[in-house]
Amino acid sequence: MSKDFFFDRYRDMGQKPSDVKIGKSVRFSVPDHAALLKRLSDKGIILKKIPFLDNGYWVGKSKVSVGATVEYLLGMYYVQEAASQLPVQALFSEKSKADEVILDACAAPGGKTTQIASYHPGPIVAVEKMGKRIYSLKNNCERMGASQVAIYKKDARFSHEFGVKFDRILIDAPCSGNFVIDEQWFGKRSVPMFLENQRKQKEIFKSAIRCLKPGGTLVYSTCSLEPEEDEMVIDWALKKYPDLKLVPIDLEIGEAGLTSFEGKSFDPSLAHCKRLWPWTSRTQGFFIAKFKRKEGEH
Amino acid sequence: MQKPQQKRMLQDFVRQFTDEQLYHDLIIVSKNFYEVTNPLKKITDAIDQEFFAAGDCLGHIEKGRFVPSIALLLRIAAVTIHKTTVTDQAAWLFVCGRDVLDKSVVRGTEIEGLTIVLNKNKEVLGYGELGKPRCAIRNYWDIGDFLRRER
Repeated sequence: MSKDFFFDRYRDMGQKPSDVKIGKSVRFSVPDHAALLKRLSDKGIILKKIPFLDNGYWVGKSKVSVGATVEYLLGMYYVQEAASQLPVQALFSEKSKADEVILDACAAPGGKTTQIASYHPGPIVAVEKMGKRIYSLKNNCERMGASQVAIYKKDARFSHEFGVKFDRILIDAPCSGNFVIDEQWFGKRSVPMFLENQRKQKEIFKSAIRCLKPGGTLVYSTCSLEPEEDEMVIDWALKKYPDLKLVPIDLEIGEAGLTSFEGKSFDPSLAHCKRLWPWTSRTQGFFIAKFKRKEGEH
Repeated sequence: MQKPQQKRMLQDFVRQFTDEQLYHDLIIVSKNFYEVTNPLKKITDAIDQEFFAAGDCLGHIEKGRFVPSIALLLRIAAVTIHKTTVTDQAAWLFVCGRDVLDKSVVRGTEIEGLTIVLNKNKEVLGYGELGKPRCAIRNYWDIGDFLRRER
């Protein structure tokens, strides 16, 4: 498919698409931000607070690579794209209790896993099926000192086989990505590909729901702008699991999720979802949905 | 190599710094040493699958040699006298895999043998050995390994 095809699609969704260049960003994992800002400034790395993130900073001028400092190696920060810091922030907009158990269903390379560890002092189960990427996940957990994490090599479509119930679940689902992070994106993508991804995303969702506790919270996110991988999955989930409801997401950025696409109407509560359109947010594209499961037996 | 032998390698490494007991209940998975404590341990015990990694990784065995992790070195640094502080420039070179020269030592133990290497902020950069020829500290492991592993 072509860039024109996709930009027409985005116009049909009410947008005015344009090319976007986004900046690099980091996420601090230390409590004393001022001290770390000073240390990095002394090295010629100038950072600017990102207003819609708890711990995120834009990288401005930088005399050295941000991924090659002693502070990075000591685990004081993680190089993490701004929009990708939002799903975990949404998952923990209500503070967790130490005895809660969290599942990160598609965890590698560990940006969101270590971010979860910075919010939550209790146990975290991180799942990854791919060989090389699971080593990156392990390395990043070690580097960031995330010692409350247990990593399992497992396909997220079978997380329910653990036999453990989770209080909160993050599904940062494998998806087709977006044009901001891949210059060749337009030529490599097609609607049939989105539908194939949708099939896998639903399978991951089905497994996650089987291990979500009553009253639990689930955040589903992708870095895709395509409704086949976003709103259509959410709309399907709401129909299939009547004890799930979407809740508003406490973030200062993003537009409402779509409530219709190509003549098909979705559940009106999809307006609670958040879409990050790159030309507006100056980040990569992202989609976030937050569910609460009803209390009671399941 | 049997697991008791592997555990002894970790014990022998730690004994070069301190007699203190720095860990309990080790779990060895694929030559990696883990300490998993509650509440995480309750979860890993409930899951009927061996984990890939969990809790604090204290090190691993590579080519017949024990390689400590940053988590283990941090525990050692908290209790040992075998520590050496280096200059800022030497700290950067050390995490690039280089040895430390005499002129770069700010303060520290003069006892030959293994030493934890710190920067001026008392942060652990790795470990090495004092008293080797042509350098003050021979680099045995540094945190730059996190980048080198990803190549």
